[in-house]
Parts: sequence; C-alpha cells; structure tokens
Amino acid sequence: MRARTAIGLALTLPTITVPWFFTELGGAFWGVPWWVLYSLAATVALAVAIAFGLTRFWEPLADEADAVRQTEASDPRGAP
Amino acid sequence: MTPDDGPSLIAGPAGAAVVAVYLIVLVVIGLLGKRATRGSSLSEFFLAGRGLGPVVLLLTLFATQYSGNTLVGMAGQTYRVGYPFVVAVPFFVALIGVAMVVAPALHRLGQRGSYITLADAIQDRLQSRPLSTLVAVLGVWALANFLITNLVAIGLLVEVSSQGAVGRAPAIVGLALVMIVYETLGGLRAVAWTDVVQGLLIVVGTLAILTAVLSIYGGAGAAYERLSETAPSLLEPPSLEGKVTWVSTLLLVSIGASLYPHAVQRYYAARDAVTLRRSLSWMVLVPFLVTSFVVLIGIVGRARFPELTRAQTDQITILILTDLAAQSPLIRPVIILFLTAVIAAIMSTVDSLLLALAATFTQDLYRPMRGDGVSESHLTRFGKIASWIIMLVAVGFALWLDESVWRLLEIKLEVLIQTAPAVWLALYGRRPDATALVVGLLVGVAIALSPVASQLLSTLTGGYVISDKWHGVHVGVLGLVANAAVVAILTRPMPAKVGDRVAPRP
Repeated sequence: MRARTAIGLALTLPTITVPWFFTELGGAFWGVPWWVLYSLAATVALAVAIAFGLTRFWEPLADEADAVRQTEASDPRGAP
Repeated sequence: MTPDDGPSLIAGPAGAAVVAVYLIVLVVIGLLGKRATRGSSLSEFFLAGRGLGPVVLLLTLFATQYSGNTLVGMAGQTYRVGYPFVVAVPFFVALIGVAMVVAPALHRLGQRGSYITLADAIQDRLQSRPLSTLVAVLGVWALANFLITNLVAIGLLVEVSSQGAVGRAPAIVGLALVMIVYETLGGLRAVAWTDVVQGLLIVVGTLAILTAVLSIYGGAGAAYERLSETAPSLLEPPSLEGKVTWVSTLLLVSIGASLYPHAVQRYYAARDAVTLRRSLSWMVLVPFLVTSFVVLIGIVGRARFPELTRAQTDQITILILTDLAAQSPLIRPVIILFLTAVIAAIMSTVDSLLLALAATFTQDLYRPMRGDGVSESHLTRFGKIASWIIMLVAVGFALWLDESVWRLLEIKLEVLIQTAPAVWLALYGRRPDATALVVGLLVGVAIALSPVASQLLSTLTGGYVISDKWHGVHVGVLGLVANAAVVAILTRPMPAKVGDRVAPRP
C-alpha cells in the first residue's frame, strides 16, 4: 500500500510546478517573469517534499518489497 | 556573428594543454581503479564491488544524469522556446521522486539477490525470460541511441570550438579511445571516480560561465527588457496545451530517467541504503545549481543574438563563448574551463552508457545463452570485449550514419517508460502476470514508436505522418497509459483461498 501511495505522490506532486493560474505575462521581478518564479518556488517545495519522502518512505518501501517476496514464498497463490 | 568568427577556443596551446592534462588524469584514474579491483567478478567490474561511498555516488549520479545536452542542448532549446523551457528544472527534481519509489527496493533486493541489471530484478521475481529479455532489449535501444548522439555531440563540440583545427572524426575516435581504455581498466570504479572529476568540472564550469555571461551581457533584467521588444512571446507562460505538455514532459522524463539502466546500476552499487538515500536527497538540489543557470544562459543568448537559424541555435553556448572571448581576452580561462566541463559532461555520460550496455549484453543476453556453468571471470572478460565492440560500432554509427536517421532514433524515454509497469509490479505487485506485462509492453512500445514508423513509411510511400504529441501529450505517455490498461485487463484475478471469509464491517 505504501508503494502505491509513493508512486501516486511521485507522479502527481510534480504537477504543482505547472503555472496553471498564469495566462499572461503580468510583469517580472528582477527580470524573471512572475510565473517562472512561481514555478521555481513550487519546484523548491517539491524538492523539500521529495527529500522528506526519501526519509519517510525509504525503509517502508524496501520492507514492502521484502514482504511481497516472503508472502509469495509462503503462499503460492500470489506466485507468477 | 557566428561561431566561426571568433578566435579558436580550445585549439590554442593553453586550451589544448588543459584538455590533454584532463584526459591523462582520466587514464591515470582508470589505472588506479584497476589497482583497487579485487577479483574478477561481475559485481566487482560492473558495480564497483557494491561499495560506492556517499561523495563518489552523489557525483557519479550527477555527472551521469547531466550530459552535454544539459549544458549545450538545453540552452539552445531555451533559445527557441523561451522561459517555458524552465520545465527542465522541475523534471530533474521530479525524477528523484520517481527514483525514490524504485531505488529502496532495487537496492535491498539487488544486494541480496546479486543483481547486476534491471532485468535481473524482473527475472528474479517473475521467472519470465521473454519479459526480462524484452526489458533488456528496450534498455539497449535507449542506451544505444543516447550513446551515439552523445558521441556525435562531442565531435561537433570539439570541431566547432576549435574552428576545425581538430576535426569531428579524430575528436570522436580519440575521446572514445580514452573512455574505453579507462572503462575496461577499472570498470564502474574507474567510471565513478572519473565522474567525481567530471561532476566538479560541470558545477565549477557552469558557475564560471554564468558569472561571465551576467557580468558582460547584464543579468536577467537586461534580457527581459530586450525580449519584451523583440520576442515577447518567449516570456509568456505556456498556453493550455503547453501546460498539458509540461505535465506530459514531467511524466516522460521522471519515469524514464529513473529507470535508465546506468542509473539502476548506481542504485545497486551504493555501499549501503543510507549512502544511496543521502546521495539522492542531495541530488534534488542540483537542478537549481545547474539547469536553472543553463536556462538563464539560453534566455540571455536569445536577447543578445536574436536572429539565429535553427541549426545555429544548437550552438548558442559556443556562440556566446566565442563572443565573450572576442570581448575580453581575460575571460579565456573561464571559457576553457567551461568547454572542458562540457566535454567532461558528455564523456561522463558516454562511459556510463557504455558500461551499462556491456552489462546488459553480458548479464541479460549472453549469460542466459551460456547457462549456469559459465564462470564470473569469463563473463567479466566477455563484458570488457563487449565494451570495445559496442564502442567501435557506436563510433562507426556516429561517423557514418546519416543525421536524419539518428535523429529518428532519438526516441528513447518514450520507449524506456514502457518498462515501468513491469518494474513496479515486479517489485511491489501482489500477483504480477508476466504474459500480461509482455503484451502491455509491446502495445506501449508500438504506440510510442508509431510517429517514427509513420515518418519512415511516409518517406517511402508519402503517407500520413503521426504527430509525436496528441493534444500536447507525448505519444510515449499515451503508450504507457495503454500499456498499464492492457496489464490491468489481462492480469488474472487471484484465486480465492479455501476458507477465506470476507471480514465483517466494523
């Protein structure tokens, strides 16, 4: 279940970097358009989330892969 | 101004000396890698004995992920499309997020099951030779055309930056020879150690050239004012279809690049889980240090040289360097440093691709043919010979293959992402079905390759050419959706166990 959550988050979270709500230029700050700054700020947030996820999900994901193997070994219903 | 107008950049004595010293250092590192090698097992040669520490692992992940295309090609791409190409920053971050999903399991199972390649993980779980071979073949496809295009790029770079003093062919052959020598001497250990030098060069070179560009041309502010007058559309946010393409690009790159065989090799080669986790954590910072600066160089280049042809835009970085050298001779050392960094970036990618290809041929294709009795030392010897043959063929293709042909072969991530369902289900699936995965993979690949196939057919018959995007979505991503749907439909439901009961609702 953790793997599904992790895959779902890894595929959907990056969409926060899309400048969805910007339809026109609307000015700039130090020569960088606001929508670019938004996207970069969202990327920083994404990077922080991934760094946190690496700490939070690493062991559970490795354990889950292990558990799948062990379940398969003890219960051949799941075996290919 | 064109790249031919300025002074020769690396053919001068100082530039040639720097490049020569750099190449000698690489060969010496190869020799040191050979001395550090213990025994002749496959994991010793292809995975550095599964003992890469945090600094080396971080820099080898970085140098491998960031090719010459990152430093040169992406600046050209930004020149053409403007600020919307800032998507390159999030996609380099997002790929670490997808790597986070596969790396923990691959590392742990790989250590335990002595995996060498990605296909090993699939074969170990599903015991399906057709599926693991298919995954290996798709890996070869992705790596081979990446290898050829990088060799072509390094030849062009040396030829253009030396203004023809060093021809394309001698550059490709010479640098290929250096790479194959240190790679066969020390395997992944030598490749990773050279990546340390190359990774540091990329960071320092990019920072140096950015500083030079900003101080001489003015910063983003000056570029903004100029572009507001000459090409305001390059400053605007993407349209709705552009935003859809943004999402599609994120999916394509993050899924595809996280499954690159040479990246997976590094997941296996980490000394321990903590080392790999920390290295990946640091990797999320790199796009801010390198990619965002490359995008800025492309923007400043567009403001400075507004009227370039399509072919010239690919050389925008070289054009800027040539212009900088003409404006200030004092800046020449920075230019030499940056050009060496670009060569380093390409070499660090090529050597990794070569090693991953040799590993795939040895472990996934040759070993199953020879059966269980074959020794590890024999396989390692085969891997080294395979490296030489692969490099020879790749150099031949880079020199003689018509550009229009290898441009068609550039589709790699579109093909590679089709392996994702097989990998994810092999690692975490409760009841993966090998037949369903093979069919899904074939459907996905067929869809991903349909634009290339239709283009080839149209040259023969003049028929309809399928676009590589549908409403902004890459055909490869559509192929992945179809692939996953086929797998879901064809996977047999798990039979119920006798005595199973539905748990009562609380």
